[in-house]
Amino acid sequence: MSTPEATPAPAPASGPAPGRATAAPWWNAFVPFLVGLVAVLVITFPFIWLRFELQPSGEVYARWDVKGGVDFWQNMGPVCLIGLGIGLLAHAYNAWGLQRYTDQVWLPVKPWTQSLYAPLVAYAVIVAYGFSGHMGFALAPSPTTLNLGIQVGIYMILAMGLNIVIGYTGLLVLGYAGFIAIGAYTFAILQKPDFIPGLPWWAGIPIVFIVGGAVGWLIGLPCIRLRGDYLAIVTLGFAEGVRELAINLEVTGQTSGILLRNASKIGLAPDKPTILAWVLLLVIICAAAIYRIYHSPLGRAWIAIREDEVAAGAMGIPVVRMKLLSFALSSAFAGVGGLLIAAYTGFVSPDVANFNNSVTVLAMVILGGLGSLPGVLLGAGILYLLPELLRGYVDFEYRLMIFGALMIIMMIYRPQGLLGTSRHAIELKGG
Amino acid sequence: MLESFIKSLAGVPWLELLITGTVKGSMYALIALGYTMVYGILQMINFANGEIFMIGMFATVFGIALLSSLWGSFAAINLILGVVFAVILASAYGYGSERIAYRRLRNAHILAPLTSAIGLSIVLQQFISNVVGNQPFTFPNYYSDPFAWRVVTLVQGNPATGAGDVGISMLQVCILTTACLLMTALFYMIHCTRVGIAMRAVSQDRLMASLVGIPVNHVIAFTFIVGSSLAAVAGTLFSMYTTTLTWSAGTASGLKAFTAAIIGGIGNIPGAVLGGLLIGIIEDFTIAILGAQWRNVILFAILMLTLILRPRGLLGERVADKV
Amino acid sequence: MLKLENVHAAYGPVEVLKGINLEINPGEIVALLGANGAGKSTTLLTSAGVVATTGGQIWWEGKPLLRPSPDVVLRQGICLCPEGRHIFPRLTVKENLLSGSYLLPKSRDAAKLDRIFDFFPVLKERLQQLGGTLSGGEQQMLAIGRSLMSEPRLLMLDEPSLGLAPQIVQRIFSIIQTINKEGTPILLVEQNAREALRIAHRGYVIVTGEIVLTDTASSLLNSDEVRRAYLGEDE
Repeated sequence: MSTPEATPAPAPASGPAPGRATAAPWWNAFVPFLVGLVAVLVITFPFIWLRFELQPSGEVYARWDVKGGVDFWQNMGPVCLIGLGIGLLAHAYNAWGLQRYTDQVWLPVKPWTQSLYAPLVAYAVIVAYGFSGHMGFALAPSPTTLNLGIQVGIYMILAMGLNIVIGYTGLLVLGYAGFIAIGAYTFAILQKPDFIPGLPWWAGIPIVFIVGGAVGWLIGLPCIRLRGDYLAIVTLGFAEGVRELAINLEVTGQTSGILLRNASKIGLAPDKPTILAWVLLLVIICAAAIYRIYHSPLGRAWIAIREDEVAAGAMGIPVVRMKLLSFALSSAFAGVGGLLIAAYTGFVSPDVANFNNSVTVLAMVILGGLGSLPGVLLGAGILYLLPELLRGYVDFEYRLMIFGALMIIMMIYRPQGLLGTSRHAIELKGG
Repeated sequence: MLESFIKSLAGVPWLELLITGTVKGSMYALIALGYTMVYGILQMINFANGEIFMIGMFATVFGIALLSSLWGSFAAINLILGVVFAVILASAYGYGSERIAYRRLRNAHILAPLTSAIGLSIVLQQFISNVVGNQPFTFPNYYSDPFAWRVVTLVQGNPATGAGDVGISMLQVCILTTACLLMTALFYMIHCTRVGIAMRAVSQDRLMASLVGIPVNHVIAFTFIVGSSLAAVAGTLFSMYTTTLTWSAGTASGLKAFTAAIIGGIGNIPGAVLGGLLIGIIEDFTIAILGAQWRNVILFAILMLTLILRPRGLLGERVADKV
Repeated sequence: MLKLENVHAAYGPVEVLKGINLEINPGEIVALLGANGAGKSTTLLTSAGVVATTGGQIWWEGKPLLRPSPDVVLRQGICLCPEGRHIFPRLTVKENLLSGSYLLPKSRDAAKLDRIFDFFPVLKERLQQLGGTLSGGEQQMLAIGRSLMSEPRLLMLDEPSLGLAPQIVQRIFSIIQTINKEGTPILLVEQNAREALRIAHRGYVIVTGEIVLTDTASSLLNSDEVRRAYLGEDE
């Protein structure tokens, strides 16, 4: 519910309509939007259109930077259009009751997306397509496409893992990259001659799963009984800490990172179609496992905690233990994702623990739909393809900015994500 | 290794570190106040406060540059007006962020405003990094040099070279004075004025505050504006003190300030000041003893220790868990 | 002064008010009676701008009442003192009182405070105490005092006797009467129908979101229907 800005006297632009005698003109709804737009243009003006120039004397002067400004708006143009489109769609969706129609389209689809056959069929199709190059198929995927597919698959696993803790249990984790790094570094260190040289990647999975889970459990232990935002900030600090530890410690190779020994031999597979097949198989295994957990008493306990912690506690659910479990499980999946990244690229550097990485995965979960498995997979796909689609129109550096804007827009207009349930919407909007 | 550690411990110039730490800490405290005030009134972490700090940094230099181009370089006037410019611009950003990203989510589940806040802080940070540039800038020393002289010499080092001297520079005095003045003004405002009463009333019972006639939206917007102004001033001081401006300073200092707010007890205003000072001092000692690359690790360790031993913070009274 | 015309209100799909018609004239105490869940409090909350209407019109001094948010309603002169007192627990008594006069000229504060201390001398002794440490009766007095600080031209009281000892209820009701005699009309919602009707001029009886009965207070007190429904069982 929005309220008018300044004085009480004149008729407000919005508010409970039936209290008013005369109907406001239709363009009234756009007035706050336009005012906001102008205000944003004004306050961003100096940063966009001006440059400061430092003189050797230590003085500083301003000059116009028309090129920079034009450049910025050229980049933002498509983004603003997309944002405007999403906003209008969302507005139409909420205001004109389009929900009814989309429900008619989506409801029959939902059981299909949630059944196990659909992903298996999709798997078979994608893998067949991946290998079609070997069979001399004309439209075979290029290495770049295969590479993209593999990365999407890895990020799908990560997003599903993060979804456990954010979507199911309702706790925000901001330092997911820290746990990814833990997995990647664990595998890379185990590869070293002093430990288990020649450890195949599939044998590393249970190890990083356990290590990742244990680290998550330890980190969660002190802060998980506090309010949800503490976990967010602690994990954020944790990721920074992991990055610095990786830079400082000798065992992690400091800033240069670790190059996996015989990367080609230990890496996922000799050629890219096979790697894609393996990664997608892992995606399906993880999805099936998480699906089973979600529909077990454990999953229901998480949902109960998300919806009302006090009530869940009163019903005999061990709230703290369940939250810890979900957090640990999610960091265990992060470990697996980290291992895949390390094995696929053959290289681990402190950059894995970057905040950007956490944000990317978080944006995937939020875009696709908190708590919805197909939604999260879709989100990972979209967010990996979106920069590809915008390539040529928007500089790559603007990617994160778009993700951030997307997070705000989603929270305001569709907090449950693209494929989320309406129940989640009510809860997030505080109905 | 241990031996060298102890040796390095013996040579620590603790007085100097205490002074620089306090100066740094007072700037962290100014940022932490923004976090803690918004948390007190909305029970929500305004992640973007660190980015507002960073915007304040750049806005100062933009303001100074604009004025220099307009009427030439007058150190004192330009600097003061530059700070005013930064405060106004940062307040506009703070108000705008409340308006765009938080107001509609006020009654939502805790996850929604938190996510939106993170989105906002990413947008602001990336905006500056894309528009202003990735490279770190130096603060124009024409404006910071007049503050570089030493006011007091506490420890006399080598009389010939001046090495080993410990003293307080004019800049440090200015930073401490500004921080103290702002904090006093803030305490006065919160405890002795009507706005302060209204702010506390809103933080305790938002609906009831509205029912007794307090315009809640305005009061919340005002809180954001105050927090942003403090962050902007901290930004100016910080960029003068460290002489560098980078787009990533917001996240780095924001994380420290936030840790400070938690250590002092989030929602508690004296706690934020205490926490800020502690973090500043600990950081400088860590840098001197262990090296700069360890400071975030130590910071994180302190955060974890606080949460384990005293989850409500040093001065916090409120129960941290959902009531 | 205040006139509700066929007002509808709903919480989500549940319709709570189904066409309320109600009028308050200058200088009156009007009692609004009804069982739990009948919609008494919702009527007040709707008039105060907390709950949106889904139909009908609210008139205030001949003009439609603007209700975008409670503070705007209050600035037009209607003050609601809600059920359950809602004192700001970590503000002192004085700050609690002053919070009521936000946006009004500071120069009038002292006179208003004196008037409130005439009504409630206890508050003067507790001036520097935190609101949360007061007893229930004192909190109710503080709540009424805080409402008076906003210089209301219509005071709406929701259950002022809730959970208080009978003696204190008597005191509060006599003070309500005094406030009324000094010129402020009062809309009173009460479970305690007998006491409410004793001080009121007129009364409305509300059942499941509709006004079923309206009359002068004395004839309501004597009407069989009201006796059976609200006086017999409640007392």
